[in-house]
Amino acid sequence: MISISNLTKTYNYKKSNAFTALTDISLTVDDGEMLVIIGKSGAGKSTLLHIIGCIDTFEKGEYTIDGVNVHKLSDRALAKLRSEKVGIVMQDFALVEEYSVIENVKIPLYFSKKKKGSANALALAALEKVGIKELAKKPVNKLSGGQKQRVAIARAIVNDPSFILADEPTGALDTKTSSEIMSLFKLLNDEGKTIIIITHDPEVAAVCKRQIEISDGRIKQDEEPTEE
Amino acid sequence: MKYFKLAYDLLTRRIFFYIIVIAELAGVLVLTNTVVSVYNGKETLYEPYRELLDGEGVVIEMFPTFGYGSSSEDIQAIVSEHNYLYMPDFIDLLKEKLEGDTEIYWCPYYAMYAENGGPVPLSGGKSEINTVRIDSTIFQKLKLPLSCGRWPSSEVNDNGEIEVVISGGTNAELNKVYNTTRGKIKIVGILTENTYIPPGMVAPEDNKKQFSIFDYYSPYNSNISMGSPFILMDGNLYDSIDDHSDPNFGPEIFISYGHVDKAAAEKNTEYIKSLGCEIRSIYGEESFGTIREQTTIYLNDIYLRMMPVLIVAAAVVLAGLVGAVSMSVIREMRTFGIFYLCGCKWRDCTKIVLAQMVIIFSAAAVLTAGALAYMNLTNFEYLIGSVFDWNNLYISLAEMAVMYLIAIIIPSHVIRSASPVTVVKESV
Repeated sequence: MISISNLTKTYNYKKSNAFTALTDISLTVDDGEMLVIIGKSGAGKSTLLHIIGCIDTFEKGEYTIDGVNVHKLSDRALAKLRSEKVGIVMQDFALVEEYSVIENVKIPLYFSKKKKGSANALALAALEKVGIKELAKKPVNKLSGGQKQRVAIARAIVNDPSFILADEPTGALDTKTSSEIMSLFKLLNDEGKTIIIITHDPEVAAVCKRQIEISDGRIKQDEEPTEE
Repeated sequence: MKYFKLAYDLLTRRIFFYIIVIAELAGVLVLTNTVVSVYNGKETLYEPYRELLDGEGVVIEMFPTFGYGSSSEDIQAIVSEHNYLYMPDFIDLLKEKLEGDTEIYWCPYYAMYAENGGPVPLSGGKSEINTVRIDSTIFQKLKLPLSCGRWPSSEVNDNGEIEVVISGGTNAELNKVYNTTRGKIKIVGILTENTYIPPGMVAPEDNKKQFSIFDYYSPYNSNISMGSPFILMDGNLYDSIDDHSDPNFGPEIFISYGHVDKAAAEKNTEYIKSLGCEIRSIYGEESFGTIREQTTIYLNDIYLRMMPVLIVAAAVVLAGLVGAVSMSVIREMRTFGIFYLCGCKWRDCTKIVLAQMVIIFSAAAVLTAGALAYMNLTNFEYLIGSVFDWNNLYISLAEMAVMYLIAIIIPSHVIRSASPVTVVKESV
């Protein structure tokens, strides 16, 4: 479970050009939830995702993952959390273009200590789950956008994390492919993964039961959409 | 190992670029090893004479006409007995007359004949082959490079054979035994081409005032040398077989006064001068002290002359290496950002770069070893008079360590000064 209370993030903290990106954010994400964070550009969505993903830090408030207080963790412990608890999917896929598909998927396994089998077997299993096992040896730079995002998702799940965070995962994809990718996230959610997606695409947002709207660094709305 | 795997993957993405860097590094290491091994080669020549030259003494040079015109009664006594100056008697005279703990190193050589009196078959078409008798204490320290075989034992072997090494340009076969007027000799080693005849057999060119020990050695190459091929033999073994043949004698005689006081040394020199021989050196002018000094200058000169070249070459290669790796780090920042997303600690990215350097340096070391082995196989190292020893390894490792430490400063700083959050936000 993710629990955030009264979290504030200020860039250039205590400097003359300080800028507060998030103010007094509080939210709880239960295991197995699939939620979307929406908001205008610059609202603070990505900053929040980066903090949830243990990439970025914050100055005030509390943030716990499965009861572990993230604010007090060392670099090593944060890296362990990123490696084992969180899988991250980025808008532009964040793949090493010169690597093959399977080499990209294996990257988290280099930094994880909870491997439960050979790296190849784990990577192939993840690729099979996202439906591109046959592309394992293909260079990433020869893939389409949709295939690349599947590789990114496979990499995000290869360590079997509890949470999958996706920052505009369909931002670089066409409508049909976006739909396929969202179906994939839905499938992973059905299998028990907690999914947090950032988007400004209403169709993507509509897939998720819970929607959190951020505006000017504050949570403006946090609700489950009413069924029509 | 994971850092090496990731580092290797990153390297192979720009393999041609790094091949050039590795080749440059190997070039500097080969250059360094060449200088060190040339130094070693000279050290190999100096070592047998080091102890001798650490004391006091002089070198005298005997001219072919020496003896006939001498007014010295001692010399005339020898000449009248033998009709010429019989060298063994002359050496005995010096031993008897000189004061102090005197030792005399001279280098007689003998024409060698087959047992039946004919030319020794191993002479290789040359008119003769000389056996050079080297004083045992020097012979056992003398380790001239061999193209094959080993350095001889100081004792007659179980079959009663005297082990010798032979120069190139002969018909000699390794491990073959030849019956000669000097008994049964066994060829256990063949000297490399571009070898040296030890001091005493040939006079150095008298075109300078002061000599180092290396001036007393005579370069020998079977293809270009005018001298005959030669055999080197342990003095003690040689003396054990007396065939009563008269030796030819080399012009240089090293006379060690041992640890005598200055007055005795001067007295000895005065006696040598009183013999009326035309001598090259007298105490105070061409004493061992001067030879020692010139030898040290010569050895230091090898490094002093090459050091600027080595430093410039190393600096150029180092600049290339630092530039290459720094550029690579900047280019790979996005990749490091991706690694960070996937659970890598930011400082682990530095470890990946360090592993990259280790791979580069290891590849350069392997390439250097290959190049040096090739030089060895093609006898190139003998052409430049070089000898490889442990100090080649130590100096190479030290050079690589220094270059490694300098090379990692900038790339490590680039990574350390970058914020992973910024990298992820801006690049990933």
